[in-house]
Amino acid sequence: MACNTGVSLTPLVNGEVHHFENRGLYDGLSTLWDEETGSIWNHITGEAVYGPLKGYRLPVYNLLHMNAESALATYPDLKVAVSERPMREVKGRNYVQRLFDRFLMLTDRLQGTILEEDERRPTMEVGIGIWTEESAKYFPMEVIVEAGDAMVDELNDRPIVLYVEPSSRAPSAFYAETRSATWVDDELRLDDGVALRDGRLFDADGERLEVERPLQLFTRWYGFALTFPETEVYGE
Amino acid sequence: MRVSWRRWKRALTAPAAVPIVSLLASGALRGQEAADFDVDRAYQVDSTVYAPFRVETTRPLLRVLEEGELDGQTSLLVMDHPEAGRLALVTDQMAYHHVAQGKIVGEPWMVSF
Repeated sequence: MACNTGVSLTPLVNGEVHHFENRGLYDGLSTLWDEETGSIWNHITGEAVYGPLKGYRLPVYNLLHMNAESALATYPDLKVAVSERPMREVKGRNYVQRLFDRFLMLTDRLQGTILEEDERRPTMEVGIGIWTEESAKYFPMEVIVEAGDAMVDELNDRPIVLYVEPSSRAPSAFYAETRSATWVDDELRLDDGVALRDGRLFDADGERLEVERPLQLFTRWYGFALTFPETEVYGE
Repeated sequence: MRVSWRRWKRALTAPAAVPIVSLLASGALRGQEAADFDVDRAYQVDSTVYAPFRVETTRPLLRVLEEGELDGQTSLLVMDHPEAGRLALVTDQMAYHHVAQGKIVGEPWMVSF
């Protein structure tokens, strides 16, 4: 998708599995359609926005961007589902993609579904958007990169670590009681000897800690801002 | 003329309006909601364009890498679902399908991208 966003959900409506597909656009983003009722759903918030199920909400969870190497290091037992669809991805694509991204614009079809853009940031800028039931905050990718690929901020008075995962170069976030986050080789070091290695968090004694992540999207600015119009922007 | 929520918000957060906003504030995040949806602005088709990925089988990522079907640099989307657990999907394939769904140990899950 042009906006690059994705989430995982539970496709249960009143205890019954509904079957979804992409059949439209709104605010420059994909919308979902369920074959049981024909309702239209927001694909990030999980809410039915039009049709018989208008107002119904599906639970939403994180969908993390990783490459296969880092995914396997983080979750050694991870399973994968590969479809019959041919893959176009080629080596070096990330570098080429980043160059191309500078010149990306919304197509007329996408633009036609947007009433008014939020002009606080460039439309196609890439960043990470985080939200809770109380608030949302957007961090431009370039801000995290300029901070040395890791930084600490707050969300609802809780410290939050934002970092760029070394091998996939995807931004990610988790809660941690720390005031600093610094990469030393492939280890993200926090206060009190806590460190993130291969996506896993360890305390100073090497005991594994749970990684608690807020809801987050690796996203383009326009998609996050149109979904959460009240979002804060880091540094503004 | 239709006025967007953001325009209302700008008007309401002008200095003179701030006390009113303070009284109205509930502390809950207001994202795009059904009440905001303008069907005349939506682009909608009435048949399948991008076939969703109905997942029937999954395999260990390690084995798929060893067999060379994917390589270490392949971009993945990793679902972390509280009931169904974790599952990886190939980003490049999901850019076409947009939706994947299935069941893991009887628990239904879905990914939208």
